[in-house]
Amino acid sequence: MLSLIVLLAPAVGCFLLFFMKERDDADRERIRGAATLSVTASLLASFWMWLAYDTGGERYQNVVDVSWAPSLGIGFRLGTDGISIAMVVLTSVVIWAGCYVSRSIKDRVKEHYILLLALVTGVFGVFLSLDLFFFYFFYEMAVIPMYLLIGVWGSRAAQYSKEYATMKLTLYLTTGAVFALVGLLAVYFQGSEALQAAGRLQPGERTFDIRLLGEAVYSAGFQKAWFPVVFLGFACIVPMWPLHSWSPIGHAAAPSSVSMLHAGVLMKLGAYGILRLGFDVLPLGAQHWMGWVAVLCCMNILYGGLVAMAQRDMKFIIGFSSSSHMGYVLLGLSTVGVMGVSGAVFLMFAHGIMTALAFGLIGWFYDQTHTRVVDDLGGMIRQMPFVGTCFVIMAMASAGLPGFANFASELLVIVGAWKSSFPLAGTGLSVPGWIPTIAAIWGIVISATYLLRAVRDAWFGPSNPRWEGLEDARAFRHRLPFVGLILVLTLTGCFPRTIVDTIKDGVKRLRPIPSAPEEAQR
Amino acid sequence: MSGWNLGLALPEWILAGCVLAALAADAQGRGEWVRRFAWFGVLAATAAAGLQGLLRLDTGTKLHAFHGRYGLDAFAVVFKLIFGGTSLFILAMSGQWLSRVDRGHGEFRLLALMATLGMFFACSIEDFASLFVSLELITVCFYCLAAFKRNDARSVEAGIKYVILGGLASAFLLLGIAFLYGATGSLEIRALSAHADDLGHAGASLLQFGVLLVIVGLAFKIAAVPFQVWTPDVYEGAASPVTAFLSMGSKAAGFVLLLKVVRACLGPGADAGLRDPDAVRWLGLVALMAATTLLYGNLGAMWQGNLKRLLGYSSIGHAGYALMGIFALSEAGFAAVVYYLMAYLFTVLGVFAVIILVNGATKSHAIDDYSGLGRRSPFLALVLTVGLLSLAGVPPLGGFFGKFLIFRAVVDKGGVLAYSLAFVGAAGVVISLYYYLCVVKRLYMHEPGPDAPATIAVPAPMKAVLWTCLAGMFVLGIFMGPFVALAEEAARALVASR
Repeated sequence: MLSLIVLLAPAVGCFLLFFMKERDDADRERIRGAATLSVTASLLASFWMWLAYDTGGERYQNVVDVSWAPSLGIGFRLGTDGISIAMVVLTSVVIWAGCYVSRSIKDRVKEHYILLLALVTGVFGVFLSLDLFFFYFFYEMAVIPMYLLIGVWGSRAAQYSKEYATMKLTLYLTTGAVFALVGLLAVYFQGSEALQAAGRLQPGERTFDIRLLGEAVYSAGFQKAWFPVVFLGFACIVPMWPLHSWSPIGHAAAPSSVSMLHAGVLMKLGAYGILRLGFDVLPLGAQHWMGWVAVLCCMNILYGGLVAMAQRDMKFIIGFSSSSHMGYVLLGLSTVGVMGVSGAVFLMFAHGIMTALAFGLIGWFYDQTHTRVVDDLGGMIRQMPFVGTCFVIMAMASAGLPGFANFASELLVIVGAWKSSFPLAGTGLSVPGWIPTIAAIWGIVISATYLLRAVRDAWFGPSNPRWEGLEDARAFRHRLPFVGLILVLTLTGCFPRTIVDTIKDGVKRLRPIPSAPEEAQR
Repeated sequence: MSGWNLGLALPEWILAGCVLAALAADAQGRGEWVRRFAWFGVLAATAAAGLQGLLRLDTGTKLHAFHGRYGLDAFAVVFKLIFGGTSLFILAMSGQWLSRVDRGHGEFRLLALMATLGMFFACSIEDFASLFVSLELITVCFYCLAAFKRNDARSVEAGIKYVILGGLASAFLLLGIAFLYGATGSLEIRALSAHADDLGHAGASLLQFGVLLVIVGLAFKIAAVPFQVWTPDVYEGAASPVTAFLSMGSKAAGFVLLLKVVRACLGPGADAGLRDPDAVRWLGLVALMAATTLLYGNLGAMWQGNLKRLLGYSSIGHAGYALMGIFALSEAGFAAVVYYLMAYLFTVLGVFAVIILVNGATKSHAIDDYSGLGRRSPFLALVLTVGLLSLAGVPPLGGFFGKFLIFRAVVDKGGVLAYSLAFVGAAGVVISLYYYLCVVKRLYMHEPGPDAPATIAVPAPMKAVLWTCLAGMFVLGIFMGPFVALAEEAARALVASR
């Protein structure tokens, strides 16, 4: 029931907005109010779900199961485990903050909120679906609103027009999705066949039920052959190096609320898909291939970080930094152990909140300065002490300062990686755990460098006379989203067990985990 | 199977009666009566087909008339409903367009009605003679319709191109039928299934050649590569309602007949279903045709600046997807084709309804002239966007689920060929999304030009068409359960027929 509320609140809001008129400012205020109301409902329901999560109880809780197209085995199945609860909470927090940040949109407000709510319905749908069909359905559904949101309300990203940026993003994401689809269908047929053989399904019956498909036995050959297809499809959206080039441009071109949602949540869909399908359904494939992923994600961490150092546009800095941080997530996943994977999921959560905060703050000053190039900025902290302080907090969190969720999660990933080794399938070689660990630690140093430099150049130093009249976030409704995000970031950073226990409970029950080396758990 | 059983062909009788009555009325110069007969004929025939399906057919039954030359099963009923729906939409849309034309209102409706009769007939044919007659009835009507704007050089060009290439295709088809008659000694389609095993053998060249020629003739109708060259020109030159009718009605009729022939080529249907499709050796050819068709259509559409021409290329691409469903040679594949066409109905007709309205205001089909439609006419822009996204296969729209079923059927088949085809199809989806989004970009991200008309008025019948299409796309994309059941019923009937 709760999962239904989380999913349907924005969907209903989206539908109702169609019938609202946008004639004057009072109407616009009403539209913003309705949108905010619907995502607040999701926020409350998702927090309730989180608090009510029964660690050690049923694997999937808040289950909804409605038969939809029975002859194909499609059912409208929703439910949450520890991993998806973290992701749902992340989404609802980010969209809630995003709704407040979008108040700066003045043109075609109604369309903006309709698309924003459609997008978030899709994202919630992915995280809540226990049905492979609806998983894909919602995944694809999230892509198109993004295209219009960036194309209509976005801004130029360095030398790229917003139209170019949004088309590139859409095509990359769709390419990933359709290739994953072929893999998903192969899993559906193979899994249903295995379930029929095991007597769990009637002869000739098929199912898209992730719970059942996750229990089916697949041959090792099948898993090894199809894991790369599924993985690469989702890796496009993570984004894994070298498939990442759409992502920083997309971040930079998007309006702030969409950047928040994009970097905060959308990129996590890929990693979540890898966990839900790659890991749970094709465990042997995951174990077989993840060594290569560990190598590639070192490229993410180092290359993303180094490119971020060279950027002067604030959104590009955060954009490349995101792709660098998603490298840590992939590194955590590639350990295929409780600690590393839990760390990865926790980092997805922490990075989502942190990066949403970053884009919200950048949006705040960009609306007034119309430039994000750090060289043009400078000394802004005098004009906007509140936003500046929040930005410094964000930079500290992102650089991995203890006390923030990012530190705790990156620590889990790095320790997890240290204790594992990564066999490279097909070569007979194995990468010892310390190699990616060193890359990861260097990544932290690099990220501290570019973040501190950005803070120094944009916020401190001699103040630029151009920015005399900048306005700080003074009103309560302007500060609320930033305060909310920082609160979540510090609470989960200081008391990581509040969310790590939930995540760990979900991770422990993923299929490839029990066979991973026991010492990874300690 | 014996007996005349004339009452079974009730929808066709109604349509034929209305054609004659409308012909008489038109000869008397009473255009108003032609309109009434056309509406009545299509409505009554569609209702009759629906009622026949409900009342006379149980699951899996097939009724025969005209000594077995005419069959009625769930497959025929579902397609008759599709064609009836298409014609209703076309009649509703053409009213707006005809008001801008000063002559020939009666002929237009009469030809549409006759084409509908041909389509209904095509659903029920059981032998090659009737196949040819029904196909010619449809095609000849479309020759005239394509050249309907006789003062417009491009329309006349479209008509002539269509006649010449269509005539060539008919010749191939007829020759193929002659070969098949020579090989099997019978005109009945099911006679082919008795010889299905020979299709893979070297000795049966007469039979193989006949089947190949028949498929060539039908491939022309559905605009499959390499018989697609006429499509963009005819789509661009013909009047918009005609293009809409062509892209839905004519194409679907081609698929109905193709499905029937392909089914017969698979041999006598045991009750258990189809025989092992791996034994079918000409499958590689179908795969090749599907892959080239969808790549040609989608790649060609990328460079178009004229929306109707773009849709012409994209319709080639869609024929490629439907061919993928046929490639699967399974009940699931055939059901996917049926569902694909159902979704295509609402999608493509909704898009063309917008095109007719916008063209009425701008007198142009250039994509540039759609700039800023989102600001000028938000509702039209919405329907066009949703339609294009459904064509691209984006959830939660009908076009998505149609494509999903096609991919499902192809992956189910398994094997290198099927997986390769699935990946080619996946690439096609991405390409098509690109050019559809380029149009969407115009609608929302570009500002309207200085001489762009303000809000475009939408008359009541068009409004009904637009809302129905919009609702249809969403219903077929979200609440797909009952429609999937319908499509599966039709496919099961097709597979079971012998």
